[in-house]
Amino acid sequence: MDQWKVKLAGILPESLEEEISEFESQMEMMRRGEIDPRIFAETRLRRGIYGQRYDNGQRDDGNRIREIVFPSGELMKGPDTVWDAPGMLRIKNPFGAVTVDQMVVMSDLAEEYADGVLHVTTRQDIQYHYVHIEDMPPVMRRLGAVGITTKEACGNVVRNVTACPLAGVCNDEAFDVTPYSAALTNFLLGHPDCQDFGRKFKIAFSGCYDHACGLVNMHDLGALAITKVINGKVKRGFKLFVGGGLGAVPHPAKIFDEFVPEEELLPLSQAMGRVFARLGEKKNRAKARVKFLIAKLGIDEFKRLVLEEREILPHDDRWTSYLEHGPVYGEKALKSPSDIKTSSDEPNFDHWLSTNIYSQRQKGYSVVSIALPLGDLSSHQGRKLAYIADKYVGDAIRLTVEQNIVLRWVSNEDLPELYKELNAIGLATPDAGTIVDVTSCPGTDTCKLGIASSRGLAGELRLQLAQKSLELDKAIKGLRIKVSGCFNSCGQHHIADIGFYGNSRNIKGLKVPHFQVVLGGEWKNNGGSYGMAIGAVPSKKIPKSVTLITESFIKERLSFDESFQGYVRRVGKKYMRSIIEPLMVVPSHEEDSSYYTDWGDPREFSLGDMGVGECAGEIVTREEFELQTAEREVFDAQLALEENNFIDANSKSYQAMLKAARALIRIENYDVEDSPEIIVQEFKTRFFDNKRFFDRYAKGKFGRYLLQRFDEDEAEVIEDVSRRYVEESQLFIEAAHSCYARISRGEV
Amino acid sequence: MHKFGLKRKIKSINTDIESFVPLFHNWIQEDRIPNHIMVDVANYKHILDGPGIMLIAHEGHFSLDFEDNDLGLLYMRKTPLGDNISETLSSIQQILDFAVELIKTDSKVCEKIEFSEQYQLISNDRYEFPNDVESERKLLLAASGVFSDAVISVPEIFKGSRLKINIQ
Repeated sequence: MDQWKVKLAGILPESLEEEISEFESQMEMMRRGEIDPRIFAETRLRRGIYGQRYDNGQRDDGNRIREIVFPSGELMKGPDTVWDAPGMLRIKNPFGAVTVDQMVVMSDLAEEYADGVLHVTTRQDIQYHYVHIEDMPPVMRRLGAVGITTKEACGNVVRNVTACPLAGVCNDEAFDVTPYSAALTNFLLGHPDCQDFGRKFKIAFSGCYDHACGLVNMHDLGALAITKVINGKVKRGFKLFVGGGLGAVPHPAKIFDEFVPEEELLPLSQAMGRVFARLGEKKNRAKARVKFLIAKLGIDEFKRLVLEEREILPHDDRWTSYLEHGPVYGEKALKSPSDIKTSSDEPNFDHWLSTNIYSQRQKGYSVVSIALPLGDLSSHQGRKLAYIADKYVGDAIRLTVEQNIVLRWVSNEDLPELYKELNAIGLATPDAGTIVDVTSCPGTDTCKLGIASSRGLAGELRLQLAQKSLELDKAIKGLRIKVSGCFNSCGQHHIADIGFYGNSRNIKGLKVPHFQVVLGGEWKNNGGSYGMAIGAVPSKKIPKSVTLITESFIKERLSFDESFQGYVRRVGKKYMRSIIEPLMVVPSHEEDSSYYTDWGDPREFSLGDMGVGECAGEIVTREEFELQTAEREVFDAQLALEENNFIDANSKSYQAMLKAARALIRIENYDVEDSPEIIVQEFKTRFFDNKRFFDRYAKGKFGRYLLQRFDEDEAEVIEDVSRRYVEESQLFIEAAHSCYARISRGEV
Repeated sequence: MHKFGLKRKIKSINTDIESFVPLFHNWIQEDRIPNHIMVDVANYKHILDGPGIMLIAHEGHFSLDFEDNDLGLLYMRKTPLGDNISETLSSIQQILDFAVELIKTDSKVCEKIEFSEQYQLISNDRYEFPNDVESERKLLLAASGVFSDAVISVPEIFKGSRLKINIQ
């Protein structure tokens, strides 16, 4: 038993403890082989537990493909995923917000259970790598105790809701989107209408259009804050974007509505979830994002269906309850405002001040950017940063989509001292948000889909660019470089000025790591437009290609006003390709073997380590999921029986039957109430009386177990009765599975 | 009661720590660490106060660790070893010293690195050994049993850090 369960009893919210205990039961079922690995995989993904490279038990060590023989043997935690293989845990930080206590706990856990590193992702999450699955429950409990959940961080669900890290302090925003993103996060987390998606669903909020902010153009649902004067009053609302997305084939978002009043944000999102769940692709995961559904239906029809669904939604008080006292977020300045001090004895202070500080709308305060190389922060840095934040800004910490951290509400006179303290722990690197501040997905370091080493390349570019940072022309200093390890665009290469994604080329039978060069994407305007691929360059020549491309821009731009995007568009793809073409030549292995290895990896390059990614999750229908939940409940009933806890065994076995019955009913009556009376009545009408539930041999016997149980008075608390109940429940659930299979085949 | 780390301090190093990337890969290729299922090598050199270069193994990680700017080879145990703290610490020391010997005899780095005789013991379990007086007492007792001739002291640590013991 997890010792932290006892220690944190009463601190951890009851509902969260229940969920984590359920997950522990599912782990136990998996160990006993009582659950389909596919379902367990999607279950763990929905708890943020992701696979990692080599978890299929194989690794190319540079000489040969070796089997990694873990002690767990044949035990799996998903299709082709070994139980004991280290994995990743993704922690959701809605809109990137982190408190001091959370930063301390996340740091503690990184060193106790992972590799001592907190990795900030391009969607404002934190990831741990190399975590053992057996350690996940205590990690989740300790995170839960400081208000963090990993629920629905991965899998085919609503992922972390992101927002502009400057929300609330920005000079250009229409209003602070934080309370709205918080409300939508809480509302959709675990929402029944969002459990049956064919793929993930990503939401972002932005306060203004011109800047990158929340990148609403590249999200499944993007909400851009705007105000409108209606009947003489300023009304808050959102311009809603839908169906944006990067991936292999990027789709710019379409406008769903120019103005959705604030009170309609949650119900419309819910309705959208329903339409996506009902009509989205489920079999072909490559076509299952909502962008494909919108492309298939057309935006007008999609909108019509969503509005139609909106009309029939049962009312929910949560839609507007958060608006009743004014949508506010409780972040307050710790210190009084003050004038900026630009003098410091520290040698790089001025450089840092020029690139890492944003003057807030609130006079006397600044936002300080902490540029994290490759998005990484050690546990020791995290703990010390928490201490510094506590001293200067309190809980006003946010993660950014550029894999950095910002401290908000820094009183200006504190900047020199803050710099000094950050510098002492290696967190005062200048050039945040410049060409030096390269972002990257994990790539071949830990991702199963990675083709080339995006982190290796990003690290090298960062190193080379940082060395000449002070000499860089102003025109290129503000450009963004983003690197993905494969075409899936987790590094967001499509919306970078200069983007790269990993691929491979065969040269005389040997593989050479390459990166496709993608130019002219727009980071501003919320990821306003996507770049164009101009050709693949050997990985080792990418730094040189950056030099050639940026030098051409400086020399050839028409005026200081011509943007990099404008330049690339004007000179065209063919010309840009001609600049890098000389770099595309790969010498033979004998001439230069360095081309045949990747950045930071001495092994001869190969694709032998690639596995099946889990980004798409497992396609598991809602009904399968709900039937599995029923199975887990009856499993808990069995455990209770083993512990002679007959009260729990009775109640859980009954609940299990109700859950299984409800799963079937929801195929036809999606909004069926979750009350025993209604469920039993619906089950009787829809499945029992018409014999659809009947087994070929047992006929109505198993279905009758539920009806009898419902009619019985208070169950007797004795072992024999409990045992019978548990067995009947098990049989009922088996029959429900069979019935579902017959329905799926169109037989009943 | 197994989550302990032991760090052997490095007196001097005359090579980029990235030279440990191929060295650790070589340990994997040649199965150089007995009873360890080695998985991969991670490069965290870019983190100033971090784990440096890491060899990830199922049983425990090895790293050229930079915590508090204090370079050393750290072995952080992840899976159970022995029945009590003394046995565990003793086994961890053997594993770490074995790895140190491998480095000392590696022709590519042996002349560029000098280990000291100082160790640092780190408790990596805030449940069993929270950073308090009682845990410190237990750990000091166990360490003095395993490192019988050593001078043992408790270093000053940053608030909230893991419990540590210096062994000289």
